Amino acid sequence: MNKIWIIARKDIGEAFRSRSTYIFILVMLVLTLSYVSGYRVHVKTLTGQQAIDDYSRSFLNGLAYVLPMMYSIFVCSIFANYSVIVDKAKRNIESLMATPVSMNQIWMGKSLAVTLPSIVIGIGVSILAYLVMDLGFVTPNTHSFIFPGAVAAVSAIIIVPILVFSIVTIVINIQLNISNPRIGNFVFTGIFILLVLGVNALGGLGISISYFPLIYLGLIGLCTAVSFVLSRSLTKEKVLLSTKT
Amino acid sequence: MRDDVIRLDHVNKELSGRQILKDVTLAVKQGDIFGYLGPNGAGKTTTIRIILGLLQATSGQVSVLGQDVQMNRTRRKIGFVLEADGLYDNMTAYDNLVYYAKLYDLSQPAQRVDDVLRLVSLADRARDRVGTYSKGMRQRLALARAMAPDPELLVLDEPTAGVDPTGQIEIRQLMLDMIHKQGKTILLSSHNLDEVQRICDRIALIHKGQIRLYGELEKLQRQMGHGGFEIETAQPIAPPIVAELNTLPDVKVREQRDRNLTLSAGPNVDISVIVTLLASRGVRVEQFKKQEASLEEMFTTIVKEAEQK
Repeated sequence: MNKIWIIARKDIGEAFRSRSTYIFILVMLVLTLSYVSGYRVHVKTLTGQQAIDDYSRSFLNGLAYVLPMMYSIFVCSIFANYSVIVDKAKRNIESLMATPVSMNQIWMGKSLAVTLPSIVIGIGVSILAYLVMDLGFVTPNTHSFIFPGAVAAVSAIIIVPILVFSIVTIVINIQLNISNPRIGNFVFTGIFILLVLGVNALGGLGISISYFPLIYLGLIGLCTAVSFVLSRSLTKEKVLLSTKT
Repeated sequence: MRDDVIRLDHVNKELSGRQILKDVTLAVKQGDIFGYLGPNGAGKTTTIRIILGLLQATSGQVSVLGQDVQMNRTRRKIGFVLEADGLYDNMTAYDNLVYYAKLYDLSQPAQRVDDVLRLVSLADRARDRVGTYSKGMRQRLALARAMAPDPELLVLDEPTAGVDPTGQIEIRQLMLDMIHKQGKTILLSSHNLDEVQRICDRIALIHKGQIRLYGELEKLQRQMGHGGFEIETAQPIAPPIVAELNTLPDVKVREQRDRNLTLSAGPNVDISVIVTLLASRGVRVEQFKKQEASLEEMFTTIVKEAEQK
C-alpha cells in the first residue's frame, strides 16, 4: 500500500503543477451554468407553489446524483494524461517498472492518482454548484433551502467515488497496455457524454433518477469483474512493448 | 572463485516472431566492470531489459544475484541507468531522487539523496527542476539515482552518452570507485569503446542477437592480435634481412615502415630466434612487443565477419 501511495502522490503533484488542470476546473464551473438556464426556463412554466417545490426538489436531487459522477469523470482525463500518457511518451514508466515495485502496484498507484484528485474536485465543484443553484436560483422560488435526500448524499459521497475508481482502473489498465494511450481517454469522454445525455434518456424511458444509485452499484460490480480479468493479463513486458521506443 | 552476479544460460528471446536473442550465455562475476558491446539493434537493450525483469526470456535461465529478478527483493539490490533516463522534468533533482529512494524502501531517503547528489557534483543544483538540466547533468543525476539505494549490482546503459569529456572522466572515476572502494558489480553497456577498454575487465560482444566474443578483455586482445609482434630497430632493416625473416618457419613479415617491423608468428615460434637473427645481422632491436588488437579492431573484425556469414 505504501508504494501505491508513493506513486499516486507523485503523479498527483505533477498534475497540479499543470495549468490545464485549473482550466478544466473552470470549464466545469461554466458547464454548471447550462443547468441554471434549464431550471429557470422550466420553473417559469409551472403554476402553484407545490409544483415549484416538487420540481425544485427533484431538480436538486438530480444534480446530487449526476454532478459528482459527471464532474469526476470529466477531470479524470486530465489526471490520466499526467499519470500514464506522459509517463509512457517519455518512457519514464520503464524506469519505474525496473524499481522494486510490482506491476499491480503501479497500476493501482496510477489509478489512485487519477481517482483521488478527480473525486475531490468533482465532489467539491458539485457541492459548490449545488449551493449556488440552491441559494441563488431555487431558494428565491421555494423560499427555503432544499437539502439533498439522504440516498443522493450517500450516492455522491460513497458510491460515486467507488464507481469512479472502478472505471479508472479499467481505463488505466487499457492505457498501460495500448501503444496509443490517448485513446483510453475517450472512455472518460464517452461516459461523460452518456451521463449528460443519459439523464434525459432515462427520463424519456420513464426511469426515475432515484434509480441512479442502483445503476451505479450495478456498474461497480461489472467494472470490478472486468478489472479482475484485466489484472491477470497485465505484465511489465506488455506495458514495455506498448511504450514508444 | 567469485560468484556470478548475473548469469544467463542459453537465453532466447522472440518478439513478434523475430528472434532477438539467440542462445545467449554469459556470466558477470562479483566485482566485475563488465562491458557489454554491440552495434545498434544487436540485442543489448533486450538483454538489459531481461536482466532488469522488464522482459521475460522466451527460453533459457536467468538469475541475478542468485535469485529470480521478477522478485521485488532482487530488484531492490539493483541500480540502473536506462537509455531513457526516467527523470521527471517538472520535479527537482532532489524530489526525483527521494521519489525513487522511497520506492526502494530506504529508511532515510533524504540523507542518502544528499550524499549521492554530492558524489555526482549536483548538490548545488539539487533544488532546480530537472527540465532545466543539460544532458550531461541528467546522466549524472540518473547515475545518482542508481547509486542511491546502495545496490550490489549496477546496470548502466550508456551512462556517459551526451556527457562532455570532463563529465565522462568523472563518471568513469565514480564507476571505478564503486568497484574498488565499495565492491559493487557493474554491467556497462556502451558504444564508447575507448571507455570500455579503459575500465572493463571482462566483455561480451553481441551482434544480431548472438554473443560473438566473450571473456577477459586482455586475453581476447591477445587472441585477436593473431600472434603478431612489433619490432622497433635502431636503423631500418635491409630488404635481404626481411626476406631472410620470411624464410623462418611460421614467421611472416606483415609490414615494414622505416624502423618498425610488424610480423606474425605461429604459437610454436621461439621469439629469441628472430631476435638472434637480427642481432647476428647487426640490427639492434630497441623494442619488441607482442601485438594486441585494440577493442575497436576487435569490434570491427567481429561485426564484419558476422555480416559476411
